[in-house]
Amino acid sequence: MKIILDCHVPAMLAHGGAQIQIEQTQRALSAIGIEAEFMRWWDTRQAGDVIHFFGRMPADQVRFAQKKGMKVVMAELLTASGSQTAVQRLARRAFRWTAENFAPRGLAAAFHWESYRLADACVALTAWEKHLMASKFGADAGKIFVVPNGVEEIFFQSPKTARGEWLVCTATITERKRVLELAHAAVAAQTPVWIIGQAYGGNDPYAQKFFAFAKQNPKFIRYDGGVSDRVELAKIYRAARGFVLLSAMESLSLSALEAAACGCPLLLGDLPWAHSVFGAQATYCPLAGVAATAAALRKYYDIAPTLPPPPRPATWREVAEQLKSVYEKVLAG
Amino acid sequence: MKVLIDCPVPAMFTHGGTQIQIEQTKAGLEAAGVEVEFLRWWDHAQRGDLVHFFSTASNAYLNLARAAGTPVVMTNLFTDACNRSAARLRRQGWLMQAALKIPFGNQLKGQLNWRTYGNATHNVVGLECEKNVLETVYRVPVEKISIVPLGLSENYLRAGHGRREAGHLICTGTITQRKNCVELAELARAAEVPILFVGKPYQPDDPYWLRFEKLIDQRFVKYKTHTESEIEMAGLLKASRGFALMSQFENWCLSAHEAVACGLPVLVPDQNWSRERFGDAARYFKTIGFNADNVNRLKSFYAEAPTLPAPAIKLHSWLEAAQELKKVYAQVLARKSAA
Repeated sequence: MKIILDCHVPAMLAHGGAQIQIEQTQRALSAIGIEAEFMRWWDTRQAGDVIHFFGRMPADQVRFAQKKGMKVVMAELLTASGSQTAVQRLARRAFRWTAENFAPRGLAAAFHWESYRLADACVALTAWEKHLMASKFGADAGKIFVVPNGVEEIFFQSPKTARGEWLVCTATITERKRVLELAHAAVAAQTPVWIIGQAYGGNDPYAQKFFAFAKQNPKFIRYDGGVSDRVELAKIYRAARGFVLLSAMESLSLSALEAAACGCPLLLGDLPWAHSVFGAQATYCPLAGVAATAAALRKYYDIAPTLPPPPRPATWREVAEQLKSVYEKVLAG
Repeated sequence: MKVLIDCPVPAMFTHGGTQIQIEQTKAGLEAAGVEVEFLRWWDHAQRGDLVHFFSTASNAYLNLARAAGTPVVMTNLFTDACNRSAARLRRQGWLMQAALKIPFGNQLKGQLNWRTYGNATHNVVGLECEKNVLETVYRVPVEKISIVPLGLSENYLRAGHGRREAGHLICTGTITQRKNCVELAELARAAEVPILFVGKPYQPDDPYWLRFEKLIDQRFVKYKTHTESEIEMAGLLKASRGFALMSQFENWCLSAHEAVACGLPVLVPDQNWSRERFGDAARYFKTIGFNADNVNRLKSFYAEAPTLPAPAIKLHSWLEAAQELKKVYAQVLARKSAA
């Protein structure tokens, strides 16, 4: 069995969870003896049995692959879709139905919704994403497999230490992650938060605002950039009072899983993905203004030392075993 | 200057013009002294001064590139759109602009390519009629568009004209619906004009190919599978009486230019791309498909072909095309530095 991993977002432009997911998937598949290569788009001679596409594969490419005798497994992160309100989701379903039934074919085709129906299998990170793939895009529920993200062994193996005073938030410094809003709330609530992450670009205005605010408030906001050393990051999670992530949208946050692997209690934005994964074993904060967020943050800060650890996430090896089973099912037809 | 070439369509799926264009552009740029790499999407350590994206990048891609300070030069082939009438393009542009002005649904609109060409740092197209699509439909400012011709490899440029003694016309390219090979083969049979088709299907079980295969009689519908050897292909072209093509759409049709380089007169559809490239120096199918007029046009072309010259158009090498591209890249990078 040979798997070709493909994605249309270059890692050089977007660091973050998706990139880690792809790299770790490839490594873990190789570790369990499955040949897994990245798609060399320029290579006419590259061949494989299954294309595992991270994103929404264009429908014409799904057809091309299938005509070449390859199976297509599609794994799109429904980060934005998964964070919409019920009304927004209904409106988009109505739009899709109208476009597919009444608009010129080219318009509907441009969204590549059809890929969900053409793919041999879809991989969802959470039960919530599975629900969305079926309900929003018409994927056959029988062909959707829930396979979560994994966590590197290093996070499980890091030694326990006494928890300190700082909350920790690991996230790219970008609007979607609402790190600036978190920083404002932390200052208002007087709860120290260490924010770890990089901006997509140094000249991003949102990142600039965050950098300036963090610099003005060193007592409550610690920001030293990203931490690329995974051992060091595991130590930080182990020593943190709690983990905070208040993103406006997420699919399945890798950093939340890493923190969970280190037994760090979680405060997450009140979104369906989080409930779907952590249920009652995390604390939730409404995505609201500074005052409401500060109140939730303060309350969480006070109770964090008494909270039980979140559920243990899967390792990448376990994820690879689950994916292997998906590939086998797909190849068996 | 280091350029990263990216394309979302894997070469393992499609052979054909785009793949040749990408490979030859890379080779041409390297010959012109530009450092070029294919973009390895998984490699976060890869770096370049700009990305040349073949096809249409998503808005998300362009936004990420902008945030990273990496200019994106985009080359999309407007194969269908560039052959539309001016009125149709204007109508399409008007509708698109009206839809974009609707004050909701931005997330959905962002998934379409309506703003993409304007969001790219620069656009490079091969033809004036493609530039017209960008300006009329997508309202891309003229200063963000450059026309750079496609090249030909030295094997064609140096091929010279042949004796054209084989007694058949030739049609080269992928055997696929868009090229209307079945319809052209039916015309060949009806007109009793021998045509040698050289090409291969995308897949051996493609129903269109199977229809075509049934028409092969090696008398009027001759067939030879695609050859990787340009020297062999040039030899086949030089031996042919003329070149015939009846694609639904083309933009810069490389196979027609290869035929011209080998001295062949051409019979092609009467479309914007062909008029722009060949003007009055080609023979034209007025319509596409099997009909009496096309049977007559094919017969006439076959009869006249021995006395017809190849269109006297400027043919470019890939090195020349790359030198033009290099100038475009330099301008883009200079604008970035100035900003």
